[in-house]
Amino acid sequence: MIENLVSIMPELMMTIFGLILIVIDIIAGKNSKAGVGYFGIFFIIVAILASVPVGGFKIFGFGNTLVWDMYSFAFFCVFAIAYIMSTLGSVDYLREKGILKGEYYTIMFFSIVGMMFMVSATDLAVLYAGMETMAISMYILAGFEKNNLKSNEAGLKYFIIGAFSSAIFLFGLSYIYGYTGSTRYVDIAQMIQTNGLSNFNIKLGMVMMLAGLAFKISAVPFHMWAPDVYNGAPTPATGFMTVAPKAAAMGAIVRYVWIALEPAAGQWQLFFSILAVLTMTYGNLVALAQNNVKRMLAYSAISHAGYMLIGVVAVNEFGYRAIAFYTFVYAFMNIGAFTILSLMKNKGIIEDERLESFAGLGKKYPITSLAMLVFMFSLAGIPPLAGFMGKFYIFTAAIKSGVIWLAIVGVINSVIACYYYMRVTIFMYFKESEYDVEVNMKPASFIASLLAVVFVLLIGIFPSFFMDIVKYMIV
Amino acid sequence: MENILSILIFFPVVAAVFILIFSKSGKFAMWSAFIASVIEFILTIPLMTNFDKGTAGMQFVERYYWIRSFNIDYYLGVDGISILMVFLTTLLSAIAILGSFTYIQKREKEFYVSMLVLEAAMVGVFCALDFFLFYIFWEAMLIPMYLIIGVWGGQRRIYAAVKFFLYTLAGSVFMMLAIIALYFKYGSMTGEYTFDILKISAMGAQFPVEFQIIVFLAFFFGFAIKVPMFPFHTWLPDAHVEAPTAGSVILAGVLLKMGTYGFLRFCLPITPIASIKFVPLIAILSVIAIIYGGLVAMVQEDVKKLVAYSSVSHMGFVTLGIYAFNQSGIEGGILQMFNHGIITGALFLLIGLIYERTHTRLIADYGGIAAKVPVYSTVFLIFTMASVALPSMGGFIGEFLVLVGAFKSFPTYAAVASLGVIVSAVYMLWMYQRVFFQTVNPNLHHLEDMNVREVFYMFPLLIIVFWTGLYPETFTSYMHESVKQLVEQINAVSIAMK
Repeated sequence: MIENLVSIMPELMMTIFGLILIVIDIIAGKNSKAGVGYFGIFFIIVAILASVPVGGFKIFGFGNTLVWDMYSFAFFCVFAIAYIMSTLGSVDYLREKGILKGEYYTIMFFSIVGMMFMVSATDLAVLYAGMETMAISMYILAGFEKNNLKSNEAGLKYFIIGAFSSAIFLFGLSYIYGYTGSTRYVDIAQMIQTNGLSNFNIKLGMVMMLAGLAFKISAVPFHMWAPDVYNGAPTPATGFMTVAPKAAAMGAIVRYVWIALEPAAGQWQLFFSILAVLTMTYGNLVALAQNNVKRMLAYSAISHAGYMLIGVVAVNEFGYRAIAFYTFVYAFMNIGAFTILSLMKNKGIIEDERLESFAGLGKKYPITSLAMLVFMFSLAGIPPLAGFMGKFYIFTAAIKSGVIWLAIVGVINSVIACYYYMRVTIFMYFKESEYDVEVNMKPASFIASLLAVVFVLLIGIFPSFFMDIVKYMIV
Repeated sequence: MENILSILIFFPVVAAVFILIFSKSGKFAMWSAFIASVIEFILTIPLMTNFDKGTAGMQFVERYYWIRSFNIDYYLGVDGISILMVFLTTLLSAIAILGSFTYIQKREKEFYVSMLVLEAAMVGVFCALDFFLFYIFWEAMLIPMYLIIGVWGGQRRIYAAVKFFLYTLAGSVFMMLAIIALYFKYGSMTGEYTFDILKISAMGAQFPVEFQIIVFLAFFFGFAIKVPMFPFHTWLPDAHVEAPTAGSVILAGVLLKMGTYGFLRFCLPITPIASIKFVPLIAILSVIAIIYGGLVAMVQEDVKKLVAYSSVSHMGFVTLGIYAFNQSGIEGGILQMFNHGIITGALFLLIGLIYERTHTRLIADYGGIAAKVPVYSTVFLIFTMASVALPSMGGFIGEFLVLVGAFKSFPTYAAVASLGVIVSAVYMLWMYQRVFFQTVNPNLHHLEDMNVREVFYMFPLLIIVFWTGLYPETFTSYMHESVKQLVEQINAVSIAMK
């Protein structure tokens, strides 16, 4: 009994804190709703500190259906970073748009509970429950800008396609359950161990189930929702949506491959490599053609999912560490970029996020532009920035497990990707400004971008500390 | 003296941060950058004088743990090959910064910050003894150079900056994969996973042949783009022509050398068997570069473009010399790297300073200026002669040694390559004649001669160009031992292959 409680202690804590946040939201005055977010930051830091796993333990709970271990904790940290960064980055944007409401922060907070369950699940039913908790929160976040048609469209589109993908996931799950009589990962592994993967039905079930998860990380060909949703959602929310749910789904995939598919992991290499190649290449090629930075970053988010998938293909602990490290790095650089993007305002002549808005920004706002330059080159994977360390880790994992061709495809892709990230810097530094653009940096967003820049540089130059954290977390 | 290399790498960064924070005016940024780069150059003098020429090993070694989970160290050191490059880097950086005082008219602060960061990364490339560290510096160099070309460049600067960046990046990402592959290969053969360049080099001959060929090709791709060897040279004319003067000086003077330095430091020791197998390919590409680069230079209408193409030709000599695999060839190659940095750097500076006055670089817009600007014409003539390898000047010794070495190893290619010397005389002298002699262009009657600052920064280059021409031993004495060791290593492998 105690063990069960301990195994879900962090999630439990987060839920209670989330409920307290609702109360705070009710108490808080109309103009101080940002306080809900700040309380959320405080709570999430408390929750992290309270759930630091001492000495690498693993606690299984509720009949082996979920586990709290270093790996779950590592991803909890990524979610917390995403929450802290995007909360700080969102206050100014939401106030500007007149949608600064406490629900925004509460929903984000609850979505993290769902993500935590996804990563710590060792049972398909628990995974599904976590996934839905996360997904429903995300649908609301995407449509949060009520007066904006694009945001409404994003919410609705995300909801319909998300529901569809959940249905596919469940359908696959039912096949697996029908065949093995259990939804627990260990039983599935046991079954694969004894019978192999020869049965067509179980294969179909697996593929459908993984497709459901692939929807969540926006892997090609399950990506159709991503560009519109990322583009339509409020900009800071997009930052959160491109990082946290993706990390959660990656964590869930890794956990599944790690335990349930372990006896036949080699056979799934091809499946994941095809997914990785398609995702990287498609995301990058389409991003090349975008003139809207937000849309470009949406496609770049797709391609980054592809890089992460390389870590899954590696099917060893090295690769899983690489994924955790990559999501960690990605959280800083991507949310940083979205924070700056959310500050761009030009006076209604063209969309705020158009590439042309960035023209001449380097002269007018040198500090903001320098931060954006750092994020862009970090996303492109140029040393000595954090993004390079993430890519290095991923490609090392690929070469170590012998899938060199995938590493080659990966590096070619990162050269292609470099061009569209560079375009932003070209506009910022090499062109004269065309429109009257304003970047109104307020303290909250300043802290968010400063944190992001500092960590991107820190992880880039002294990666050792952060790599070690990941190393000890995933054992 | 303990941490001299670290100081050399981080001093410019500190200076750059200082300028970024405290500089309020362009003048302040410009002078503090210049002072910083002079201090940096002065710091290399004890490095040169305290260098022990009697050993081939690494000196001034520093080693600290950096990323333990991958056994990556912060590991620095210089030997006879790299020390000259460090010297060249700090010298040219100081001169390039001084040469930009009037050329750079906008956003001075950012410019000088970029120059200093670039300098730090370049020194880092030549000092790094850990593969990972090397790669970090190698790539980190791209961002400041990209900004220098893109912000302060000429008409087509954006195109040139992007082309430069993507070309170099495309070459180096494969190098990264090769480095990771070496890491695992070395680890699986010895049980020790490391990025230590010296340890991996020592194992060079024992790597399987197929593996060596793959690694060699990955390295080759990266370095050949940087050199640039034919047919990977197309980024060079764009980048050189569009870059501001200081950018061209650094590009031609130092960045190109990194490619040939890479061949010397990595390809030869780590993949000796593959290197020997690929000698015909490299030699042919070098000879093509020498002749083709020269012929293309001949028909250029833009002086800067002419010098840019001449770089392709001169760097062909370097690769030819290195792949001769003998003492004189490799020493000639290194000396040619050094000289080419000095001479081409000087030529770009000279072109830049006349461009500031006339705002044109087309040969047709000049004519007869020898009478108007006697000092300028004399200095230009000296460097023209140095470039066409007139005896008593630096260029001659380098190319002569290269050709001596090449004749020993592959006489046919060497014979063709020596035609390149004639070609270079044709395009340089013809250009000189059209710019400085003939009828005076009426628009140029008010042309001013070099001022004190300009004479001041050309002066060290003039000294060095004669010094290397008259007494090259000062410079070659640094490299004797290191080159000897490299040649012995290669010869041992080539004997074993037979």
